[in-house]
Amino acid sequence: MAHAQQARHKSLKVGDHVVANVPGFNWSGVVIEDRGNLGIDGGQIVMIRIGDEDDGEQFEVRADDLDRVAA
Amino acid sequence: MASESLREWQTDAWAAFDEIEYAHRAVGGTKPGRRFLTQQLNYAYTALLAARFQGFARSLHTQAVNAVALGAHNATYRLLLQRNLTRHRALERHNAHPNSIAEDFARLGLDIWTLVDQERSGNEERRRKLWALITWRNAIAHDDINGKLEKGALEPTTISLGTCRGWRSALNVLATSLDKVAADQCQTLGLPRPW
Repeated sequence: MAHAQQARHKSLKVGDHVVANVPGFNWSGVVIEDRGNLGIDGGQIVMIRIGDEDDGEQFEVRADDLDRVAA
Repeated sequence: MASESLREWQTDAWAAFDEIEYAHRAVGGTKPGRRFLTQQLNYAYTALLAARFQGFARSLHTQAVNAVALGAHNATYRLLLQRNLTRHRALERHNAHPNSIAEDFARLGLDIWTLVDQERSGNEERRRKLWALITWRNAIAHDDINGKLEKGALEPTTISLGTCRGWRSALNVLATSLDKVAADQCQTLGLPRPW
């Protein structure tokens, strides 16, 4: 992907552009909600959106599975 | 042990409800206008109960999904589960009425209300109170109280502080039962008990 990856495991914020750091996924998205440390292990969970604001897909992901990238 | 979602319900949400109770006492007295003032407080209490319960239910679903996803054998499978179990959730689009909760927890293989009803006697009646709360919340939020009353859709037909307290009490028990049933299901799926 064309995105420049930054450090992992940092706390993600609403508006951050992210990509999955897990093999098998090549989408990029935007954090639209910080769900807090709701992970069973205390990890951060975020809601991200892939695609358009109106038609995009939204779902929750562990922040550990994402890398912040330049917008 | 309780989930983080239930702990938040029992701390943050309860504190918010207590603020309304405090405001009720502060408005006290018998002067003309009190009835109107407390009525608006009761409407605010109703909307707050519905909103916080939706937040609780959504967070509990998030935590249950996370527990299931962490049982995956690798990161790719984990993310696949996480994504597909949380996309287009009913609790993102609708109030936390029983059907929304049932729809989302069914993704985890749960017939949630059957199990919640079995978990504690009286939960079926508490679920009816949840329906009444959500119906009232919608009437308030959409400025449709009179229209709903004319259709006989609101039960009870007026809201008092006692009504709100009754709903709050019912939600407290339902939250505890939902929390337990979700944890039980993780074990049924062969996973460690998450809370």
